[in-house]
Amino acid sequence: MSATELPATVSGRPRLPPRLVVGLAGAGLIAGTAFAQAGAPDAVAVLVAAAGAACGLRLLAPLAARAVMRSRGLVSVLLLIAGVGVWIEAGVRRTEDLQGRFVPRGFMGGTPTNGFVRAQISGTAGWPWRLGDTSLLSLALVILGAISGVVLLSDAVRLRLGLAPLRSVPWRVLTAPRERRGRILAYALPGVVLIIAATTLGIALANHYVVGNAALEALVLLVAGAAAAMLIGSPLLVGWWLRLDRDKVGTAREEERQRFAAHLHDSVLQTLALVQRQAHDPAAVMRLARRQEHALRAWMAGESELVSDTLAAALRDVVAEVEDEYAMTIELTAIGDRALDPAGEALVAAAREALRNAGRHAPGASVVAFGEITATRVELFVRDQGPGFEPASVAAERRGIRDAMVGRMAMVGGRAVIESVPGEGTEVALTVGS
Amino acid sequence: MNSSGEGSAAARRLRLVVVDDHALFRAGVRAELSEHCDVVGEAAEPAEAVAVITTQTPDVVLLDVHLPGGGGVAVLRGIARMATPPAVLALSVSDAAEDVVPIVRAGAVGYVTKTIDTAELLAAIERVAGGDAYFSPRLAAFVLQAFSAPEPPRAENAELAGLTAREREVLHHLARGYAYKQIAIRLGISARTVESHVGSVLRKLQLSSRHEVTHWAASRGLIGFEDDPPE
Repeated sequence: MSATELPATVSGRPRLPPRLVVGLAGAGLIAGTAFAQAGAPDAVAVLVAAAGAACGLRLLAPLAARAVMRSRGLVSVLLLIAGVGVWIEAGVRRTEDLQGRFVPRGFMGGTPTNGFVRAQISGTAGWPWRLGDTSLLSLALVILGAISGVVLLSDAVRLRLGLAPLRSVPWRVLTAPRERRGRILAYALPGVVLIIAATTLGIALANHYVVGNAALEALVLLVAGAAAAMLIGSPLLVGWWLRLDRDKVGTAREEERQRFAAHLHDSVLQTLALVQRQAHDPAAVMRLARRQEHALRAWMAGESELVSDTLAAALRDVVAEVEDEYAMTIELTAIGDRALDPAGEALVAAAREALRNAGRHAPGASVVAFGEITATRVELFVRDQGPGFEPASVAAERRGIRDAMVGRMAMVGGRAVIESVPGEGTEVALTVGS
Repeated sequence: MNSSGEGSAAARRLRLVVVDDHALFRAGVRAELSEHCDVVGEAAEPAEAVAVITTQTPDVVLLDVHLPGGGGVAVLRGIARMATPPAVLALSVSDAAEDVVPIVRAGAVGYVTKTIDTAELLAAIERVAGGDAYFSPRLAAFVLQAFSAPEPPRAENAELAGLTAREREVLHHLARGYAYKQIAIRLGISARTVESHVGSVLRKLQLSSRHEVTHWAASRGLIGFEDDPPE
């Protein structure tokens, strides 16, 4: 079972099919309405409806974002109309259907019980979805208006801060500017108007429950104060974050540069200083240059290259080691690579012997090492163009080295073949695998 | 033209253009080779190089693989329009196949590393001036690698994409550091035949379709290897 499930989970992030979302949204809204009609507790109805709406938004938001992308000016006008519509709707209901009043008591005289706009939207209006004293539609419109206001305001802020070109998330796409930047007011003003309208209405709707309850009044005041602080503070906060980010990037870059400089100072500059000092000794200069070259290449290749956990890397290390030891130049080319196993280790050890032999018996001659590495087979050829020797007349001590090489390879099921022609050089062929 | 190489050097001094963005390196090459060849021009970047090569019409161009503004490949493209483009010997400190193979595919007839000693460099220059290819052991190894793509070549250009057993053998010996003469003896063929095998390997490399080399590169994670690194 797990085997059949695996591809589905590997293939990517699971996504809700759009139809399911729409279905859930519809079901949620219908259930919410039904609950409300049946006189279920408000909380249940609101929760069910909210869940449905959230699912629907999941589907509709990207579509809306795409539509908004095309004509942003039109959208601000629509949002304004929606906001004003909420206002008028509330007003109409006050005069015609509802027993409430919509009077800012604190400013209009009378008996100022508190500073809120006082409105009691209540009664039995012709609305099908009545939830106690509050109209669900009014509530939704208030929320929509507030959100729209925040969107427009944040757009203005983002335009001002120059964050807009980041097009990575739908939210940013939604509020990305066109080419010109002179439209900040066009976004900010409707935004402010919408937020003020939504706030007033929200307070008006909540007022009925709040007035007279000191604790609730304090809470609402607190929430309103926090919201206001957020609205005022968010541009400052965003700006601060932005500066912080810029500083961080700058610091990271500077740190990288310093790390780079420190490395060059410890390695290349140090070597160059030594080269200048030992300019009279060509051999020493060669050795220094070679060692530095190896170190620099390893560093450029990355940290992983510094650990010889692959066969090719181990061969490179051995070549560098013998080059230093005998002040010689070995041209190593390895094609392919694989992890370093016991057979590979034996081959590397035998290669060290072969290279040392070349250094010892063919000083100054060019030495070429060529490795072909595949998963099943490794072949390494070490060839020098030194004097060579007559294989039939090998001295005993040299035979010992030879045997060490051959024996080492035989232990891992490999072979070492040494071929030499006097005057033509010597080649050691090391093989493991089929 | 000549099989030994030394003959032409004695008869006529070869005319060279050195293209490298490091002035010190150019000066070094000029000093090293001045005894044997005439360095008739130098250039530090592709546009300049194409201009110098077109006006000087040298016998051989020593071309750095890494150049600001398009790399050595840009120079090869620029001089391809010349009536008789000079032989180009690529030089680089690079030891990466993805740097070396593209420049040979673009028309260089040889590749040597910058650590090569003077005698070998001269031999390489004389060989390419004589119309032959010069495969250093490293280049031979890289070319072997390039032709050992995991998938067999498609039928319609199999004769282009694949190497014959003999060509592979010759290339293998070159990679192991054998000289042409030694290869000829070991394989029991003439040195001239070795040269012609090398020449045909070079042609195959240059003619093999872009698709195959791209496939080869992709299979080794080298996609984009023909793009020159910025500066």
